[in-house]
Amino acid sequence: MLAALLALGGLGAATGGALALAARRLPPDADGLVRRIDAQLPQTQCAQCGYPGCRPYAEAIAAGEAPINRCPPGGERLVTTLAALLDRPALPVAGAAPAPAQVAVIDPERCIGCALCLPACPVDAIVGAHRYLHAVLPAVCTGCELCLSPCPVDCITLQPAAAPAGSPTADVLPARPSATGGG
Amino acid sequence: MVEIEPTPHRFPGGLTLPGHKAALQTAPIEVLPLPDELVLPLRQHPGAPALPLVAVGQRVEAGERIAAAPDPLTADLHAPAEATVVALERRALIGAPDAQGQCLVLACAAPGSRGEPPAADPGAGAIDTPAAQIRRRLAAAGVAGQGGAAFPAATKAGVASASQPRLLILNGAECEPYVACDEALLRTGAAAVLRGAEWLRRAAGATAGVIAIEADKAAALAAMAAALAATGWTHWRLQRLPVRYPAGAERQLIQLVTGEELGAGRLPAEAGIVCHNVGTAYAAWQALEQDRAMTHRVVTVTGGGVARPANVLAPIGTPLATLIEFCGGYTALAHRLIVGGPLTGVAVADDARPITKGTHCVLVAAPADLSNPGPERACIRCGDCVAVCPARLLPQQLLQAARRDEDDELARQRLFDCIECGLCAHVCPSHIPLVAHYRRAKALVRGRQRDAAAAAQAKARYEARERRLAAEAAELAAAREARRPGRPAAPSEVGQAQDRRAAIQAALDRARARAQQKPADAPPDEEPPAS
Repeated sequence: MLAALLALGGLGAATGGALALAARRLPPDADGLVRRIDAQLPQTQCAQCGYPGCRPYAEAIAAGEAPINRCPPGGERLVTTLAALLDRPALPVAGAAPAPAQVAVIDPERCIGCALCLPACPVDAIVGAHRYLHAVLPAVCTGCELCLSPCPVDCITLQPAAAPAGSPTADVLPARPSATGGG
Repeated sequence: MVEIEPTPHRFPGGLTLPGHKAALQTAPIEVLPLPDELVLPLRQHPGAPALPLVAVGQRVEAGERIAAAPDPLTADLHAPAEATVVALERRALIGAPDAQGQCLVLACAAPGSRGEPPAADPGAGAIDTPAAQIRRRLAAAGVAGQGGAAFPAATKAGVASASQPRLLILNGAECEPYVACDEALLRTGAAAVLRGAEWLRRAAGATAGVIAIEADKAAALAAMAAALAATGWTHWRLQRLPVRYPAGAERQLIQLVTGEELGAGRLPAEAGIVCHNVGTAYAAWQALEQDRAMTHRVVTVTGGGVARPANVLAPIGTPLATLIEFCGGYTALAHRLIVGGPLTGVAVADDARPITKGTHCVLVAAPADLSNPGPERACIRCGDCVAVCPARLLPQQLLQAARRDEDDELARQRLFDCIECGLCAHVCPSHIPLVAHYRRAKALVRGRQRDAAAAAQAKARYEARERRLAAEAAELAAAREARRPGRPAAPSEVGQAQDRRAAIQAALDRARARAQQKPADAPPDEEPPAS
């Protein structure tokens, strides 16, 4: 009886000590956590969370400085995923309601070629140069809206993104008849 | 006489369904008079939309290429008749109620004129063109699969030829109830279909061919046997399939013919097999022996809601309403408009939408054609859906996964192995529209995959931009550092500065020398120049 108590107690104490030591000595895997959080973010780089991009937001979440519900493009699904990943309570999404995918479009009639929108784009999706017409690469644009405010002539608008090839929306409705009836 | 072999093989699941095609099994193919207007969707294939080659107002000849395929998953589009291009605009398409797409709208020059019925005499020339050349001609004629997916025939043959297939299966199963257009082609044009199939076999480089026809199509089997006997080809066999839906689905067909069950994700080409539809073979024959593009197809217009069901040869782009009018119009029983067969088709909201290369059936269902499913009830775990599933899935489990919409669980339940045959929903005593749930789940998963790809791209570009900005900032800082005063100059800079100072001094001296020479009274400040 006593031997058993001593053995189990000793084992517990030894393991506890080892764990305490490990927690103090080994560095926490902060970068790995940031990467795992970043992998869940939608990478629109839209800064709606208040951080300059998805990675900075991921770093802030990992450091415990930011709540997990500040990403409107990620929506509820992202909050659920992050809540599970970080073992934090899921919160309702803060900010704008998630909008359907959009792309920025430059009106070629109004663009004056000022190049102010070029550095604003977080994914280099705008091509152009001083005094030359600019254009947005629709396949690369994330619809983050960051190019709207620098434009002095308001020639950039957001438009619904074109449905991708093989878009499945056309076949989601079933016919659902039966082949056994009359006739 | 050629022997009609019964197949010894079976596939899992499946169901024998009443055919509802007796009336169409003896009738000839009727030719639709040319409509006033044809609406040709630019997206009819799995790939990107075709690129229009004509301008609004332009006159086009019959068979003229009017849109070009941008990738191998799309086929070229040709004008079915002499016409004027009147518009390039978005029109409602077959699919969801709000399905729309860019269409070329043609006003036909001679509406009401009749096209040609399927040719009776297929010719007898040798079929010995090199495979690559056959594929080029198939692509130039815009030949695409007529079984539903409209996959370009040339691409299919090209992909298959890379793996040196052993077998081409000509799919004449037409297992879905109500649909009878392939059978009509087989009955009336078996010899042409057979020659088309031989062209396709050569294009794919397959060593042998099998024509597979369901046993309830006696006339088609007899016609094909006669055609095969007339050619004397020994590398073709004729097989009779059991009447069991979905015998005509690609994987099930392969299993019936060869006994081989393709595992999940394994492509027919990897097993050395290529399948083509009967209609596609006919179009291939037209392309290669009559030099005609695929501008028409046979469509079954049937159901209790249409006055005179028929197999109709119609130009691609014919509005559904024109087809139904040609078949005597709607009856009082018309209840629901379905494009495709009753199990795999889609309900459409109005009849102005045009048929495409893949449209094989227009079903105007009367209430009696549809079971009255009543309200959906909870799953009672009867397992009927498991018994009929030809893909060996667990439809109940898949339904749970689809409802929860979890990627991992959907992958475990092999969502994308579902061929959407519709049998699970058909047998469900609780009237659960299972296939609708699976289609929705597939759409959501594909959407998330696209989003993930877009996110990866945006992330890569964002990180590249961060690196570039950091490099630019570092460069700027280095340059600023270089200009700061009070910093010990590098030896080369010291030398350059001395040279520059010497040059300036020399120039100053020269100027002074000149000034001394002209006004001699000006006193020199310093000693005269050395030069």
